[in-house]
Amino acid sequence: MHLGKREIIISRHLLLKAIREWFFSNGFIEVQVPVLSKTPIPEATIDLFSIGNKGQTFYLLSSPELYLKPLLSLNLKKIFSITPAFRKEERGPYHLEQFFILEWYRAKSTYKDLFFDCEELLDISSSALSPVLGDKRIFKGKEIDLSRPFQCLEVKDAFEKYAGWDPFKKKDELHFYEDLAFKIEPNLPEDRPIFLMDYPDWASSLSKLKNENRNVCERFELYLCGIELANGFSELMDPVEQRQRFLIENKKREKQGLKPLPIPEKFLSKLKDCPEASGIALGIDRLLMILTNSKNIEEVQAVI
Amino acid sequence: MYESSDLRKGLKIIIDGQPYIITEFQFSKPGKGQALYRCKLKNMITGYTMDRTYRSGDKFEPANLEERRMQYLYNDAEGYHFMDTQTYDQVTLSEDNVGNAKNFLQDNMEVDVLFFNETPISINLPNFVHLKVVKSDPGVKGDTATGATKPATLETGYTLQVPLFIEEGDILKIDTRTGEYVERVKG
Repeated sequence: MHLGKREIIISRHLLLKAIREWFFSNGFIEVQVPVLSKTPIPEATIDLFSIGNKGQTFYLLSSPELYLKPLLSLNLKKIFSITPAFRKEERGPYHLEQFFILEWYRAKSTYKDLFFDCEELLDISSSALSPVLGDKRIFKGKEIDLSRPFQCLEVKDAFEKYAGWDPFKKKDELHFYEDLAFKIEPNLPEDRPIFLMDYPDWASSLSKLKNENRNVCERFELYLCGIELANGFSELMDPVEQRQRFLIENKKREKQGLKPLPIPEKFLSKLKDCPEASGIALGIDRLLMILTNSKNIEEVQAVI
Repeated sequence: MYESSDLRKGLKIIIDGQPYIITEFQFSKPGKGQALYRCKLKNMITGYTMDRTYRSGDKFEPANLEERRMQYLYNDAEGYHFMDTQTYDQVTLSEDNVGNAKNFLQDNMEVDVLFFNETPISINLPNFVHLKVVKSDPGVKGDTATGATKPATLETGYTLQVPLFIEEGDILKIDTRTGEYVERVKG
């Protein structure tokens, strides 16, 4: 069944309503954060839209992390936000320059605690659409199976199995992402979710490294039907290490011909007051696209 | 120059000095990695296809391609000769460059000649042409089952399968993209 825009807009409403209700009933506080900043988080692979104002440059944020994470220092233990996000020059069936992110944080937790949230959220999201879609969820001709627990696959195992090499022995970033896109992702299950977890230390600029193995960062990606849906990790709260990572990201930016970004000092200064926490960002549009069996995320935008 | 983010289906670019057209295009950006632009490319001179993956920061030279409407004159040992009906400029294409189009070329036919850096590299025919049958044996009597066909040779020397009722002297409508018979225009 192909949904019209009217059904899509109703589905989006039902999805957002169910997500908010789930967070409220689990004791989360909804936070509304700005989308502009003079000091965004420097990330090597994300190009940002910039806006000039009275001689100053503001950037449209690619995620709410810059504003959300420091709020943990206010003794807010469970927070979430649904915000627009902007990424320049990203366009494809599963990418748009502007989309919506659901991001949430749990104090006193690690990345694995987020698995439960993901399982619950996909379950309630799917159920929320029953008034429009009925009982079954089909994506690309296959019935989606959300039975728990979701499968887990370590990055190391995935690479050894599908790409034939170990990214923890050989640091080759370009090769890593190419194989991830063209060898690993096509082999992920087409009809269910899976957690791809434990990335190489250099594959995340904001996540904590494992205490027992500093080559691995405590990060996972939730895939649904082979499509990347959410990126979660144990949050790095060490300001010294975080500054180093930002400098590395800026170096990578320059290598690719992108401008280095100012270091977000305010963000860094709040980290030391934050408790240990985990955080995750989920693409609302992609989730809606898959659950409504749409071909691309443009189809699920509320635009006619 | 084009950048990676300009890549899309149908874009024409130069790779190793040769003009290519992007026939398939896929944008990927796995888990905070660099953007990957996977393309299927077709060489516009040889027709050869290949896969390439590009990254952000890659640059591409646009292929300087131009189509000109020209009239087919004749062919000889040198190749196939065409004339621009406005400037009277003449160009010659090799048999390789003309390719299968040679089966449908008639004197004075208007075609689009594709130029790459001022050199003609291929021609585009109209989708349908009308050509006369110069040789076809009569259909075997009694063999009237639907779909039965026999060979027929056209005025260009091209031989194709036609229905049994087609006779020498008939004018046929031919699809130049598939090389197949469409219908009889004139008996």
